Amino acid sequence: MVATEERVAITLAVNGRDEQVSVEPRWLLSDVLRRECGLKGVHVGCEHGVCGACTVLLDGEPIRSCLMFAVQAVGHQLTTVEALGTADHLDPVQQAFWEAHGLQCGFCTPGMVLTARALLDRNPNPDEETIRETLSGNLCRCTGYQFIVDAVLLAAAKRAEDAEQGA
Amino acid sequence: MKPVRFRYEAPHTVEEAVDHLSAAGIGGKALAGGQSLVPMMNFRLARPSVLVDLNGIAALRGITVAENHVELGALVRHQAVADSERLRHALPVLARTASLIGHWGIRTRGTVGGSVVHADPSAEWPAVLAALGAELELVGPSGTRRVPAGEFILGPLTTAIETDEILARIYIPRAPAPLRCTIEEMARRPGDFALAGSVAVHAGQEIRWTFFGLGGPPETVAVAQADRQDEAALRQQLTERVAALEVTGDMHGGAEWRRRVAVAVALRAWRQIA
Repeated sequence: MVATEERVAITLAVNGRDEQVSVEPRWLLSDVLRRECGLKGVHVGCEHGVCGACTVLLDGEPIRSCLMFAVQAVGHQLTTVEALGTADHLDPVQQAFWEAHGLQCGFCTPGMVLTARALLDRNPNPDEETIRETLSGNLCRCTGYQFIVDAVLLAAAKRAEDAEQGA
Repeated sequence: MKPVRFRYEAPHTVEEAVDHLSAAGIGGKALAGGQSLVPMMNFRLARPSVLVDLNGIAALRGITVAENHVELGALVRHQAVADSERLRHALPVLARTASLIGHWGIRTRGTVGGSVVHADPSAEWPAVLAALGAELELVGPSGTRRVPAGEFILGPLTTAIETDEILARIYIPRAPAPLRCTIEEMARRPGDFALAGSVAVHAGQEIRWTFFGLGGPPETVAVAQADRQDEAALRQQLTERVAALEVTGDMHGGAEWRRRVAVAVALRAWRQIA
């Protein structure tokens, strides 16, 4: 039984596009998204599942992309922060992080924003305790939690407002 | 912080997975949710030469609520347990247990079976399954066997599973009346590893507590049903019983401190079911 560095050709469904990549089985999803797909919004922090910076959505649910091999993601829909908005048209969650000063250095932000977005998709009107519990798996070392929680509350209010106007 | 090279196998049946593990021998490792194994591989504390990914095996999935038992596929994820309406009615302690584990982004991947087989002393599932009298169905090259959950864990990170066996399903007995049972634990922050925890089961004339997070396998003590008003007497009894358990201290606190926390969480659980 010889360990192999042979690559396997796989197709990853990322942000609505099919990405054909050639990977070693041992390559982490976080590294493949960054290096092979060029999605540098996937931030690599602790690489052992503690910090949550590498959070991406797998079929709409947050996961640690450092705790999954890229070969395992075949057949699933992946979403990174790049899919949420553009500089001109921010996602309501991103807009709320800006307005509520929900980020300082920005390292934890993609993971925070994606976790918050997944929460609001599941529960459009979460209370503060639910938001805190949900974000407890994402560490911010600028100690910005209060503003981050404020941002998610603001995002929920904005989404409700947009929905009302759209209706 | 990157795993060593390995051969990756992604079987679709339990039999194929067992074949891969048998062929791989000591270098083979089964991958479930990966929330403990992959960090160990990233640190290179685990260096399997063949990784057998169980995630494509449909037979390992699914939650079944029957009249007399609940059946969990080993690959059922913690978040699926926490979100299951059927389980919340059938055995609410399971949903509560799942919600104590890690964080959302961990629970969406981590599996009940993986947690049991990993056998971390601070893990909730081994204690809960032992307390509920669950049975674990193991499949190996020579067939299937069932092991009581209370006999499965032999020590920290050590279980009765063979290197070529897979935990396939978990059977949890279910009483006709709602079981008075709950779980309490103490962690430094929500989602952190438990520093001490206890599963309390109201079993007629006595209350049984199964402790976890104390350093070794889950251990159960039983005390005759106490007068609900006389908590001081129960505290004394529990303190004596916990003093006899093997407890390991660590950076968070010494063994004596952990024993006090164990008694405190046991009482907290008791207040809910007494």
